[in-house]
This record gives sequence, structure tokens and C-alpha cells, in this order.
Amino acid sequence: MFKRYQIEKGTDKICDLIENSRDKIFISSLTVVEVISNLKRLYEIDHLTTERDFVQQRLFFYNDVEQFEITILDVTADDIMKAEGLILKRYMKPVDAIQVAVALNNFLAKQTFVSSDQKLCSIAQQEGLQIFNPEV
Amino acid sequence: MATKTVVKTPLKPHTSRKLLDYAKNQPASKATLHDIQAKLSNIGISLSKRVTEERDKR
Repeated sequence: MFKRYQIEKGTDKICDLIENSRDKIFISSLTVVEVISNLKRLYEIDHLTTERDFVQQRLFFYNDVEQFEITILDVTADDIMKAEGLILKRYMKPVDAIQVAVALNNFLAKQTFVSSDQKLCSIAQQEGLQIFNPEV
Repeated sequence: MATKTVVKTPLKPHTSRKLLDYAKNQPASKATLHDIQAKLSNIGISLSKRVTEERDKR
């Protein structure tokens, strides 16, 4: 999601995906917390943005969710058990394991897992998900 | 004797209704995408890279 709000490698692909994709877009509830936390950090810890900026950025994110009908998926006990299973197969960072687990437990036909983290994409692919790395 | 029919239903995503309602109930942002990108694009920190790095540290 951050690539939509910061112009960098992959921004055009992410914006196109969010704005023009005919497919439903899903994010996990964990992503919501990561987005808000990092925007808050820019204001409160890094002093790179103002409080007003933060308020507008936060609202803009939620407006995106509503406008583009982005579906937020809950992290459930099933997802945690799935995440543990992924970690038992090979070491994974906890948040990465949960993100992949949520995708696997909500598996839909032609579902694509989107991340600019190549290591995470590789694991998602090993688990049978189609992947899309906007930086590639 | 009654027979039971097992119907395999398609998987339904566990959507967070509460969070979706929460998002919908937020006031509209006064900023445009251009405003948001202008504020965040030249701060010297890539948020997507930072998230990856933070996950690595944990």
C-alpha cells in the first residue's frame, strides 16, 4: 500500500492495480495497523511530517479502502495455526508468516499475492500462490 | 431413512466487517492522491523498505 502514497519503483503498477483492477483486492487487518503505525512514526518519531499531514494521510488510506472496495481480512486463530505451520517448514518472520497464512486461508481462484519483498514472494510462491512484485 | 447430502460450498473469506465499517465511517480526507504523494515522496525513507526491514529485525 505504501507504494501508492510514495512515488518510487512500482508506484505506477500499484496505483493501476488498486484503481483499475477488475479483481477484488484484499488486505489483512495487520496491514491496516502497519500502514497507520508507519505514518504515525513519520510524524511523531521522525518529525518528517506534521500532525495535520498524518491526519490527512490516515483518512486518505481509509478513504482508499472504501472507494476501491478493498476487503480487509481478519486474522483468525486458523491463520495463526497456519502461520505456525509455515514457520515449522522453514524459518519465517512472524508478520510475514501471518500475511501468507491469511492469503492461503482465504485462497480464491486466480488470487495473487502482492509484495515488493522478494523473499516473501518466493515463500508465497512455494506455498502455491501466484505472486506479483511491483518492483520487478 | 433420511439421507444427508454434503454440499461443498466455496471458501468464503473471513472479512472483517467491523474494520470495513470503521473505514467507511471515517470522514473524507481533504487531501488528493497528489498531495499525499508530494508529502511522502521526498522524505528520504521508503516506507515499503522500512516495513521489510522492521520485520527482519523482529
